[in-house]
Amino acid sequence: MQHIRTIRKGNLQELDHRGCRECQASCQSACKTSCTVGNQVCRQQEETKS
Amino acid sequence: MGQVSGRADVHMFKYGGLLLVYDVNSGSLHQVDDLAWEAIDLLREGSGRERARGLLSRSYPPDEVEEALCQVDELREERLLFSPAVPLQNEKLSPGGVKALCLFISHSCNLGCRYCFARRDSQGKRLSHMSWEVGKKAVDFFLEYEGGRFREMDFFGGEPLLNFPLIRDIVGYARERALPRGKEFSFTLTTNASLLDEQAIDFLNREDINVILSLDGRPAIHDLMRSFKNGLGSYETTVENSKKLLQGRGNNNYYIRGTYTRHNLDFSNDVRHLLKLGFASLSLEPVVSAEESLALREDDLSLLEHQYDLLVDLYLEQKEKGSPFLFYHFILDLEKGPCLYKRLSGCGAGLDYLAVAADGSLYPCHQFVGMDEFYMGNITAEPFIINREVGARLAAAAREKEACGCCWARYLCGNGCAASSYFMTGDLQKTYNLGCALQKIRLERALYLQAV
Ligand code: SF4
Ligand code: SF4
Repeated sequence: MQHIRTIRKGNLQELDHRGCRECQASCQSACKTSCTVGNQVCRQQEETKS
Repeated sequence: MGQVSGRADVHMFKYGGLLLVYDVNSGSLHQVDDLAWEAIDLLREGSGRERARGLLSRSYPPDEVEEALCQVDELREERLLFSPAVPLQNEKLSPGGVKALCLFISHSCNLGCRYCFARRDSQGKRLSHMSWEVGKKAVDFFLEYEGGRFREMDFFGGEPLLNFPLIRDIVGYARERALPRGKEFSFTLTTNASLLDEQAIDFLNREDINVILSLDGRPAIHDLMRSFKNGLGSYETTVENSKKLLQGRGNNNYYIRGTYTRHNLDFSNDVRHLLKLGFASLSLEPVVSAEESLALREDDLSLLEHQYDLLVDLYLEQKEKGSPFLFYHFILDLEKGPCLYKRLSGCGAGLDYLAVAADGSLYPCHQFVGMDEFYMGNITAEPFIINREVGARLAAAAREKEACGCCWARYLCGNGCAASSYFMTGDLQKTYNLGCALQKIRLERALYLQAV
């Protein structure tokens, strides 16, 4: 019997070739878009996706 | 390691009848049954496998206990649960380039919103509009400074449309200059929408400029906070103009963003209202203010939490009906989100994100504009020397925030906002606790929405 269902496999353990810094800036303040890093997409993965 | 590190690395919560486990170091999310919940909890609190098996076998059939523990083992092996902290390369932690620049196109505003942070800026003595010389210099500086291909430029204020011709000129110039350098610009305008005339709408839509339109929700709420200088509310104008603008862009590339304060602790009704108006890309933010009549209090937390519950219901209800909406704080991409380097350097204020005041003075972010303590130089000065230490100081303070190091939300939140730490606690290294509590409330709900 399955006791655990994995809903999302996170990507935080993958660091090869990462850290390119091409991702969006992220500001949390109420007067801006208020995107925290959690809301964003990695540009490398975004591009390989399309 | 002890209990703290267990809780900081594996977050367990119940929501909407689901038992959810978020593995912090991998960013994975699992739904578990009662047995696995208890097993993971015991392991997280420091019990060894054998001890956990013994304890669980008192309430569950031993073969099932073993089965659940094996499933935990497998996930551990795949580094999706109890995953270890990953070693990082130091040099990748501090970005050298600048990728986002916020321009104060105009410090003036035709509204007098009660919660506006720009009002605390040294009133009167500041130059109101940015000139073409400064705007052009900002583009040059931005393009000449090291950094990657993508450049974000943000037109801000005050009300930037009070100086609309400058925006037009900057966009043209920046695009022209970027092309041969292999850079790509994206532009965003944050506006109260009241000055959107046909010419501006046409330009913004044609040039593909992202817009953030400030609208708080129900008319009475919006008008109470956001009135023209003569005291009249701006709701009607804002709604009418926003609709016109969005029609011309197929309802894409926009956010309606509002602020909620102590005056609308039932803000889910404002979201409902915005949906009724036909807007489907929304963000509603808690006010960060020390002014007593507006400021949210610790006592309000349970009410606010309930509002986010209602928003979850509304979100699911609309999705079911086939008319989903985007709520900024519920958007989460666990599988394709930014890497740890990005997550550990937070907002990048003063490093890869900078703000330029109308007179060319540079600050680590829009919130610090006008504050001598955070002044980083003036882009019109010859030679221009940028004081990078300010940014390094903010980044170091963010990294050293003790509360963040053991917070389960650290890689989703990115160590919070330096400005709210500074303005709400007076210390860059302290966290603004109410903000953190709300952040975690929103994140748990965003995670839940991944599971349903
Ligand atoms: S310090 Fe706060 S307001 Fe400034 S860029 Fe960072 S998150 Fe945004
Ligand atoms: S700012 Fe608050 S919510 Fe964000 S990581 Fe730090 S302690 Fe957690």
